[in-house]
Amino acid sequence: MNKRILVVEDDVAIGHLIKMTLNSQHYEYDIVKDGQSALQKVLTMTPAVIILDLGLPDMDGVDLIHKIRSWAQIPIIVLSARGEEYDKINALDAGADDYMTKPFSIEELLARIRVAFRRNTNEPNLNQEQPVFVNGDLQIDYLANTVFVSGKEVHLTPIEYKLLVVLSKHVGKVLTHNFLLKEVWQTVLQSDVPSLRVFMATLRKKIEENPANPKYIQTHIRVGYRMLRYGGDE
Amino acid sequence: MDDVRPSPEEILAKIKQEEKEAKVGKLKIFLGYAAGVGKTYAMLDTAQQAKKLGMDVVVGYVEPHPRPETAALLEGLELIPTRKINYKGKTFEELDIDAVLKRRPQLVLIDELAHTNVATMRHLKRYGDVEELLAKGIHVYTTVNIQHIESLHDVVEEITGVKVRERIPDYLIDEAAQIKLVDIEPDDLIQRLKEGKIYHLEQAEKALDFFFRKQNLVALREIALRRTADTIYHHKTYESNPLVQSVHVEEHLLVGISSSPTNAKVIRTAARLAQAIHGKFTALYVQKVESNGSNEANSERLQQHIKLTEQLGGHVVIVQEDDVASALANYAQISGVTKLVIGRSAMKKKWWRSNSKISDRLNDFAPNLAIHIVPDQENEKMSFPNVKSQLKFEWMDLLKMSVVFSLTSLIGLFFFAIGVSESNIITIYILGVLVLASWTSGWMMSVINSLVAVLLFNYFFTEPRFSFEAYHRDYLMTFFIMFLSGFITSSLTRKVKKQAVAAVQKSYRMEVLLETNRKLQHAKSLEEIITEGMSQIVKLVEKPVEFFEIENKLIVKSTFFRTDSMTNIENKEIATLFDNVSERGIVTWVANNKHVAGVSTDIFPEANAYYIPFVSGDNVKGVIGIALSKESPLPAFERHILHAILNDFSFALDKWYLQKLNEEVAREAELEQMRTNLLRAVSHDLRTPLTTISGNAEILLANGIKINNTERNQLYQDIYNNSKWLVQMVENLLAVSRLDDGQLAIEMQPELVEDIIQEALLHVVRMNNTHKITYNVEPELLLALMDARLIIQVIINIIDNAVNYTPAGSEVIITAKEIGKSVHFSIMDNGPGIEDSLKARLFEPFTTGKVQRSDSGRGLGLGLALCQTILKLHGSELTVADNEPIGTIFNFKLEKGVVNIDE
Repeated sequence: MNKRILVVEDDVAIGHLIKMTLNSQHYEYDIVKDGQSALQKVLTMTPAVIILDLGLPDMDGVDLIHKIRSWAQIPIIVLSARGEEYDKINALDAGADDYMTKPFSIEELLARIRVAFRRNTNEPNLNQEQPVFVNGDLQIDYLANTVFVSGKEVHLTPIEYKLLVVLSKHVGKVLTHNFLLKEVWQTVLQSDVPSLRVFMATLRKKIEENPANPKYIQTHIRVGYRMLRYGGDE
Repeated sequence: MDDVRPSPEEILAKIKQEEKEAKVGKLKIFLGYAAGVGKTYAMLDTAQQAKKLGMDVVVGYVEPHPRPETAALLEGLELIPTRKINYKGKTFEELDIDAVLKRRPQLVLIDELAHTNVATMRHLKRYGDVEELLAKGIHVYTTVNIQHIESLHDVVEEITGVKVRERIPDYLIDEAAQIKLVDIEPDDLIQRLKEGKIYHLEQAEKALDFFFRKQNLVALREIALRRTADTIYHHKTYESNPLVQSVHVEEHLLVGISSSPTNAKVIRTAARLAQAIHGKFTALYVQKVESNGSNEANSERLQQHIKLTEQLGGHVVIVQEDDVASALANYAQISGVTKLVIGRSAMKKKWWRSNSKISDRLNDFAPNLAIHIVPDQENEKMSFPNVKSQLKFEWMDLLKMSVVFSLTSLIGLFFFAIGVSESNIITIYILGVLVLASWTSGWMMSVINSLVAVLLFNYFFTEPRFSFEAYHRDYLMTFFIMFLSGFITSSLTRKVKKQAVAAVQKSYRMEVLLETNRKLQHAKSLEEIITEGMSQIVKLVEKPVEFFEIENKLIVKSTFFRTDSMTNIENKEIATLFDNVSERGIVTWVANNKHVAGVSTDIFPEANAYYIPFVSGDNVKGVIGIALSKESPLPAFERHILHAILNDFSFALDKWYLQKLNEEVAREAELEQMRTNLLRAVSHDLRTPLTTISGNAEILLANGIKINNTERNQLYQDIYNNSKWLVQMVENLLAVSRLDDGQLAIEMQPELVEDIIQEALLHVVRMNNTHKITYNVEPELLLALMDARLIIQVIINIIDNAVNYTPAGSEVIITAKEIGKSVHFSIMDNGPGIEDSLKARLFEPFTTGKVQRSDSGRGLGLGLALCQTILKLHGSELTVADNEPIGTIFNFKLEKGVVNIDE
C-alpha cells in the first residue's frame, strides 16, 4: 500500500534529520521547502501522510491546511516551534490530525507517523459506518448504545457515551476542546471546558485499566484529547 | 516598559483629545431693557449671518412672536421641536435639551434665558439647560431683559413697582463670552407699542400706563447701559495678565448674612455696590454658639440667602461666634475688607438689649472700616410661625401638672400645718413650676403652670382659705409677683433645656465627623471605606443613603444603607424609591456632569433624593444619593458637616486608589527584578551544556575514527544528555517570557490536578528511570485554578530538583489534597535533605546544592526561583520543609476550581 510521505520543512538541518529518520525506516518521501510546491506535490504525488512545519516562508501553515483540507483528507502532522497552544489549536481546528512541538525526539516522530498510517487504513471503515467499533478490549455497539470492556458491559452517562463515540470516530486524531464541545454540547463556551475535563476523567476511570497510564484516551493539556488505536506505539 | 513611556506622538494625540473634550461652548447674550426692543430679532439676525459663514446653527427655543419680521428671520434655520409637557392640566412647551444634545449643533438659539421650566424638567431654570449645553461644548445665543438680573431686582422694583420673579444670577452676565446690548430710543419703543407690535392693542394700553411709562423706560435703559459697561470692565480684568492685576489695590466688600427677611435686599445692594467698585464680595454668616435651634422658616430663609449670595458671585463664609459685631470686625481685619455693608434695621437698638448700637460697636472694633448703611425697610410681613407650635397642648402635660401640683400642695399643707410662713410655701410652688418647665414643653404651658400655681396658693393658703377669694389687698401684689417669677423661671428653664438639647445635637454631629475621620483611616478595603463613609452620612442626616458605584460614567453597582431612625418598612419604601429608571437617569446625569442634583437643587428638583457626585482624580467614581425630601432639606450646619465628611471620604478613597496604584507599581517592579534575575540565571546555565555539546561534537568531527568505541559512546551520550537538559532550560525560558506581560498573560482555568501531574511526570519520566516517582490525588476528580503550562513547569522543576539532588533509587511522592477552599500540593523525597542555611536562599537564582547525580554536572539554581515567581503570580508561595524521617518536602497551595456538572 501507499506509504509515501510529504515533508514540508524549510529548515535544512531539520529537513536532514527527518530525511535520515525516514531513510532508516525505508519510507518513501519527498521534501519541499514552501507552501506553493507543497500544494503541487500533494496533487502530483498523492502522499499518504503530510508532515508540515507551520512557519513557512511563503504562506501561513494554517492556511495551507485549510487549502489541502478543501479537497483531501490526507493525515497531516504539524510541526511547530512556537510551543504555544494557540497555534496548535488553530492548526487542529483547521483540520490537522496531530502536532509536535520542536524540539521533538526521533522516536516520537516515528510513532506519530505510524499512528497516521494506521488512521489512513481505518479511513474506509469510518466512512462505511461500521455498527460495532473494536479497539483492543474496548468495544462500542453504536446501534445498541452499549460499551464493553473485556467483554463486560460498562455503564456510561449520556455525555460520557457521546464523548466516547466522538473520540472513537476520530481514532488517532487529536480533537480540540472546542471540537468536542461542539459535537457533544452543541455550543462552544469556554466555561464548559472544565466540565469537559471532569467528564473525560470519569469516562477514563470507567474504560481504562490503569487510569494513571491510559491506553485509549490521551490528554493533551490545554489542547484536547485523542483516542489511540490499541497496540499503538505511544 | 512600553506602556510606561508613551511615544511623543501618543502624548500629543492625548493632549489634542483632552483639548477637544475640555472645549466649552461660548455664551452670547442679547440684552435688552424692556420687552419689544428687538432682542429676538437681533439674535436671529446674527444667527443667520453665522449660518452664512458655515456654522451649524439650530433653533432650540424661540418665543412664538406675532411680528412678521421676526418670523421671517426664522426661515432657513433648523428648528429642534420643543417638548410638550402636561403639568397640572396645562400643556407647556419647553426646550428639549436632550434633543439638542443628540443633534449636537455648533450653535443653538435659546430665547428668554430667565424662563422657569416646568417642575418635571431636569433643570428648574432655563439657564441650567444653557449651562449644561455650554459645558458640552455647544455655543449658545440667548436673550434676556435687564429686570431679570438678580442684583438689579430691588432697583427695578423701586422704579417699576413690579416684583420680578424670574431672575438669573449675575455670573451668567459677567462670564458670558459676549454681551450685545439691543438698544432703542424709549420714544421709538413707545411708538412700537402703540402700533401693537409688542402686545395686542388692549394689553398695550395697560402697559403704557403701567410698565412702559417713559420715565420707567429711561431709567431701565440707563441701568442696562451701566450693567453692560460693568461687564466690559469685568472682561478686561479677567483677560489681562494676572500679575498686572494683582498690583492694583482691590476693594473687598463684606456683608452680613442672617435669616432676617430684610437681609436679601441688603445682600443685593451689597452685590451691586461690589459690581460698581469692581471689588471682591464676601458674605459672612455669624452662627451663634448658643443658638437655640432656630425655626424651620428661618433656616430655610437663611439657605435662600446663602444661595442668593453665591448666585450674585459672592463668597460665603460661616463663623461661629456669639457677638455678631466682633465677628464681622474680626473677619474684616483678617481678610482685608475695605467696606462693610449692613442693613438699617440691624441698627435699631432693641430695648431689652444692654448692648449699644451695632455700628458703634463696629466702630470700636474696627475704626478704619468704611461702613455702608443701606435702607432695608421691611417689605414683607412679619410672621409668627413659632406661635402655633408653642400653643400646642398635650394631655400628658396636664397629667404631669396635676401630679406635680398635688405633691406641692400636699407638702405646702404639711409645712403650713407645722407653722412655716406663707413666703416659704410660695417658694415651694415656684419650685413646682420650675420642675414642670423642665418636664413639659411649650410656652403656653409655662403660662398655665404659673397661673395654676397662683390659684392653688390662693385656694389653700390665703384667707379665706379653700376659696379663690383674698381678703387682704397685699395678696394681689403677692399673686402678681408670684405669677411673674413663676413665668420667668419657667421660661428660662425651657430656654436652658433647649440649649442643652441643641448643644448635645451639635456635639453629636461633631462627634460623627471626628469618628468618620478615624474610621476611614482604619478602613482597609474599598468596600470598607464606602460602608464606613456611607454609614457616617446616614448617622448624620438620619436618612437612608444609596451609593452608586460608577465606572466609565455608568452605574456598575448600587448599595443601600438603611437608617436606624426609621422602621424597616420605611427603609424598604425608600429603597424602592431609588430603584427606578428616572432616579438612575439622574444618577447617570450627575456622573456625566459632575454636578449635584436632585431635591433642594435647581436640577431635577422633583427627584426623590439629593445626589452628590464623588470625584477622584478626574473621574467620577460614585454618586451618593441621600433620601432627602422637599419637606426636610438639610440645615446649614448639617450641610457643612456633610461636606466635611464627603471631603474625608474622598480623601480616604483617593488614598486607597493611590495605594493600589503604588502596590501595582511595586509588584511590577518586583516582577521586573525577578525576570531580570531569571534571565541572567538562564543565560548563565545555558553556557555549560552548550560548551559540552559543541566541544564533544568538535572532538568527534576531528578525531572520530581515532577514538575507541566506549569513549565515543560516552561523548555521544554527553551530547544527548546535555541537549535534553537544554530542552528543559528552554521550557523554563518560555515560562519566563510568559511572565513578561505580568498577570495579564496568565490564563487561569480550573484544571484537573491529576492531568497536570501526569503531564509533568511524562516530561520527567522520559529522561529518568533511576528514581521511583508516584503520585496521589485526593479526591480523584480534584480541580485547581491555575495556568496549566506554568504549574506543570513548577512541578517538573521541583521533581527534577528532587531527582538531581537525591541518590539513585530514592523515592519521590507527589500528593495533592483538598483542604477547605484550596488544593495543597506536596512534593517529597527521602533524600539527604537540605541544609537549613541553604533553605533561606533556596528560592534565589544561582543557589545550588550538592549534586548527587553523576551525569549532570550542574545545578538547576534557576528552577526554584522561577517556581517561586510563578506561584507568586498565582497568589501563592512555595515553601520548603524537612521530610520525616529524612528528606525534603516542597509545599504550595492553589485555589480550588469549581465546575458545574449538569447532565
